[in-house]
Amino acid sequence: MRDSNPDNPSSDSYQRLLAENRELRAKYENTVAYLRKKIDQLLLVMGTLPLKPEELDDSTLIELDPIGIIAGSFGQVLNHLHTTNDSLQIARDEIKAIFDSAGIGILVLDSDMKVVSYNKKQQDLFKAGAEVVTGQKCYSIMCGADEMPSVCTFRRVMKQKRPVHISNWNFNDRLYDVAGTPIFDKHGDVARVVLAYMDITDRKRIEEELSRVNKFEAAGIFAGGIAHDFNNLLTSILGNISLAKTLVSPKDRIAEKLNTAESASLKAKELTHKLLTVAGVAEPQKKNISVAGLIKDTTALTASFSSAVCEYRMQDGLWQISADEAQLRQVIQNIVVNAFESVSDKGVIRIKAENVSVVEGGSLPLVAGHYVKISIEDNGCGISEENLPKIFDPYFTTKGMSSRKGRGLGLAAAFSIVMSHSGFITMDSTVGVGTVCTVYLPAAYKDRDEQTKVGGRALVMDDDEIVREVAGDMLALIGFDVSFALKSDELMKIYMEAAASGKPFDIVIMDVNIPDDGGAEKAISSLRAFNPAARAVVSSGNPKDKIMTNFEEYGFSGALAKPFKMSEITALVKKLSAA
Amino acid sequence: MDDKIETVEVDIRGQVCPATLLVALKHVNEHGSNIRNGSMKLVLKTDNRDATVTIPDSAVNMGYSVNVEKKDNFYSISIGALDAR
Repeated sequence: MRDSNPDNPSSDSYQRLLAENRELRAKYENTVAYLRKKIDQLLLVMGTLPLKPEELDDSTLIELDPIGIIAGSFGQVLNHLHTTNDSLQIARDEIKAIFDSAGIGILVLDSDMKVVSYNKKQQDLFKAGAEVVTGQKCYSIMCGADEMPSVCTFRRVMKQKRPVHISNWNFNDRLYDVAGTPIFDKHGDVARVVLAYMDITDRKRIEEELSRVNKFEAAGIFAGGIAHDFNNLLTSILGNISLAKTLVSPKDRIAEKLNTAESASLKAKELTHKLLTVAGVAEPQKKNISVAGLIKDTTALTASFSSAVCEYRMQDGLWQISADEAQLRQVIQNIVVNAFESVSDKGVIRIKAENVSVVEGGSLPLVAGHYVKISIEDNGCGISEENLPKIFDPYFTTKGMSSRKGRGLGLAAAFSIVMSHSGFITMDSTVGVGTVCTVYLPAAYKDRDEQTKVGGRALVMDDDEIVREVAGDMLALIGFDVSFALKSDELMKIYMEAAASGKPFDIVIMDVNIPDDGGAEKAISSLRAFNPAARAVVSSGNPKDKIMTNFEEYGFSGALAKPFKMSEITALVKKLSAA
Repeated sequence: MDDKIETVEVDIRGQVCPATLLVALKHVNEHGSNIRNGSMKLVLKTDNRDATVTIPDSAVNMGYSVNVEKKDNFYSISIGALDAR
């Protein structure tokens, strides 16, 4: 029998307990080793050193609870990441909104010149038919090339590693200012290049026009002075020639010489007159003119010397213009002569005149308003791109100075006259295809107003004095007798009094929002109750207002978004008057 | 504003890595909500140079602002709310 007393070291029980104890100790040591290994892994993630057993015994380790501490910290790191992600998302949305609403083209490329992103405006610069753009090489979808062009903003940004700006980059017949900006990664390498394309074609055109006007002003001061003195001298020369002619027989050879001198002096006088016109010295004597007849009369004489065909397209109801008739004839003639000279015998000259309205901020260097646009188009030899910008410069000619044809003053005089009439002249041409010269001249006010006269009585309700004043002036211009109300009660009082006096209002315009008042909504219900046939227009600075978008449901005949233009209020009241 | 912020100072001088970081994080976890809302600032004093990198790195990742100042014979690591930077 073996001894089973556990207190006896030699007994089986004692030995078994010892074995179990060793096993448990080994398990404990393995567990602690595992914990230390995992804690070390976590500490490594936190960027610090592993634990040293000699510095931190097992029981202190458990007491310190490193896993709990690190788990708590990770929880905070994750929360912070969520917050950061939310902020990033808002920032990304902000950038996207700016990106999409920017009036310039924006293109983002990676360091391999592949498209990462682009905004809506940039799409205009891509090659036609380029559908999948992201991931494509920039030179392929924009320039249609197989490799990076030698002159390239991207190339310069990558080389210089700093922002680059290129002015007057000519692309698809338009001019751009291009700004390239690098975005660096954390190693300082260029990760992205942001390219911004600003279309400056129209701005350049206006600048060129302004520079031409300035050139004319400078030339005007100079030429004006000389031409005056020259005219005085010519008067003396011509007078003395006439006197000398009376002293010799007409058959005398001296008379022949005097006639030649007189003829040359008369040509010099004509030239002086042209110089005075170019210089702007000859002030236009304006009166109201119908353009259509003047164009046909003036062109007919030139056309009679040519076998080329002349076609006219004149808009019905063409506005009159206020102009110096003789000077206007000179403008038409100078342009038409050039057109006829540029075409062959089978050439066609097309002359068109139409009414146009120029809005503020458009591409034309004109004050907003109504104009008559005259375009004279030929299918002649055209003008080279190099010569086109100089075509209105004084003494510029492609005809040769020695020929009988010209001295380079015709179009310069046309330019000067059009400018002195507050108009605008421009020339577009393609070699071998033809040329089109377009002239804009302001429509005569009186004439235009008569054409847009509507007339009647109008009542305007608005709490803003400026709006009342502007609407009143506009309606008065088209013949309305205008009254005003500040609130809906006052509007009804005035409206009913007018009806009772036998002078009812033809139209009522009312603002949606009137402080401390029901505004248009209140006024329209009272108005409709009094007169179901009343013509009322609702007006608001917020075109998306429910009353503006559903004006008919609220009982209005029309809606007028503020700020409104003369043309808009005129069109609306005309439409309502006709209804 | 500063006079309304409670400052809790913890002296962990004499400790080395990784104990410095663990002790610092323990205090940051404990006072996290007060530091975050700006009512408390935790200032840790340490003479362990490595801790001037590990503690700020962790605290910044957790969304706090950190300022380290060199004093005569120790470093003062100040942990506060992001807005109170």
